[in-house]
Amino acid sequence: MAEATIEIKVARYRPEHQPLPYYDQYEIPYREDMVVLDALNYIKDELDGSVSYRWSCRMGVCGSCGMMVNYKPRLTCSTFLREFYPKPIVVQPLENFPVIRDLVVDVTDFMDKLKEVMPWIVREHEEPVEQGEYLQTPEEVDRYRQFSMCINCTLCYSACPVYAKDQEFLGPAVLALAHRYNLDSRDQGRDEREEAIAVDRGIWDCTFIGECSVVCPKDVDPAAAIQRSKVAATTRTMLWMAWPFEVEREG
Amino acid sequence: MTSEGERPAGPGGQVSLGEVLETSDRLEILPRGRGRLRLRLPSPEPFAWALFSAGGFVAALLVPVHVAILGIAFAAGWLPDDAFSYQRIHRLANNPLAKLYLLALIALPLFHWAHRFRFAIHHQFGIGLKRLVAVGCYGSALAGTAVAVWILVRI
Amino acid sequence: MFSAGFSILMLAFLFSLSRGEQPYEGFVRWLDGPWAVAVSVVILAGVLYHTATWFRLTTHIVEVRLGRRVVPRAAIGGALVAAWIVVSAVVAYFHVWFWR
Repeated sequence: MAEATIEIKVARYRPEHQPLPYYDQYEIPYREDMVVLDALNYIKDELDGSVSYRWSCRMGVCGSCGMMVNYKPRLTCSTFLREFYPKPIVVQPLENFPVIRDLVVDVTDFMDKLKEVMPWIVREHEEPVEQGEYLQTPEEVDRYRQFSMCINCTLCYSACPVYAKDQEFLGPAVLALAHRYNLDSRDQGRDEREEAIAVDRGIWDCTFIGECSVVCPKDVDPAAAIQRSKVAATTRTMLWMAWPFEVEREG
Repeated sequence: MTSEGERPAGPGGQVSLGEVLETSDRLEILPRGRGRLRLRLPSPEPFAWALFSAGGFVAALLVPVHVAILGIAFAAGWLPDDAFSYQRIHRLANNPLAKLYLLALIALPLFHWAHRFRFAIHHQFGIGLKRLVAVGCYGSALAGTAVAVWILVRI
Repeated sequence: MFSAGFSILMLAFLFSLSRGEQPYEGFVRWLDGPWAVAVSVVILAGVLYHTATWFRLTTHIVEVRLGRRVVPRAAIGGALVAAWIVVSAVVAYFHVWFWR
């Protein structure tokens, strides 16, 4: 009996050989338990060792293997071939990012923007180490847990029509992570983060299209995070009307 | 808009409030005493968004029933005969509370449209000219509000 | 866009009211006609779609916590629809039946 096979079309870009991108087509053996990453690994191992792509954990927690599968941003380690079989599959590099080679994209823009919002605990006063850890109740963790699930896979940037049009936009993941730290009871950096996100290229550029939350593989719901940030920023501005000044402390 | 200078980086690194304030564009008031007072100028976006949200809720909650009554139920003859008599409607509309309600009912959805249309122009039609578009959109909403006020006052 | 259309419709209605009984009656007669109904049906379809999507979006933003539990999104949606029905009924009462 003939082995079951499936067709995979892979976007290629090898500027040292050819200035323009092109497609290579491969036919690979199909098994029900295969994911797109398995297919790519088969291609690289058996058919064409020149294909380049990123992957690591192969279980949906590292965020490395994001690619466009049939024109949707997916994690290739978590996308089963049986979803499409027997129809052919098209694999392309993640949209809205410059392509370095084949399926590898340059996510420097995302990394730079991430730093802008200080995605770490910011303290006004650091407690001495002898005092121990900053404690949190389960309720306090609940407040931000969902938004802490982000694995920085940047699928949301490929899905966001605003980022597609305007690369200045900070983007869903960055804004969701900023919100995650603003919600963290251990954090005291809310003011500074607000300056980074409550700007035109931050939360206000978002129009709540919601595609980011649709494609997020970890159900972070960045769209919700951004809208809640808008509510928070608006509330702060309304409070500003009561007291428009701030005092700069000495030292 | 964020600081152009160095940001002390690294996890757990302390960022002092003063450093950030120094490098963002704020209006500064003359120093007095031990602390310095700085006047914060907020971005106008929160106000636009607040109007957008309010308008969205008015449009979602109140407009359907008004359209159904004014536009459809009346013509279909489902209403009592003198529901729309001049005397009754005029008396209803003359009430100052009613006028405030009607102002909100008419003006807020206009601002909802303005905000949404402004972003549609930028994101969907790809047109820049941010200041012009913003003035055009919110300006028309304001004009509509002004017309509404003028009409309501004359009832 | 549809809500803006409604605003214009409402403004026209109130404008005719402000000008006096004759212009008002004229406008009311137009309301009775086929054009008004057609326009209203289109606007109504548009605003109902807006209501449905607006409520759905709101359920993503609103978070109600009871201790460690969160109110499910469907419940928030249900509450919004219930509020919408109540508000519509109150408005309808004032608009149609409230004799002064």
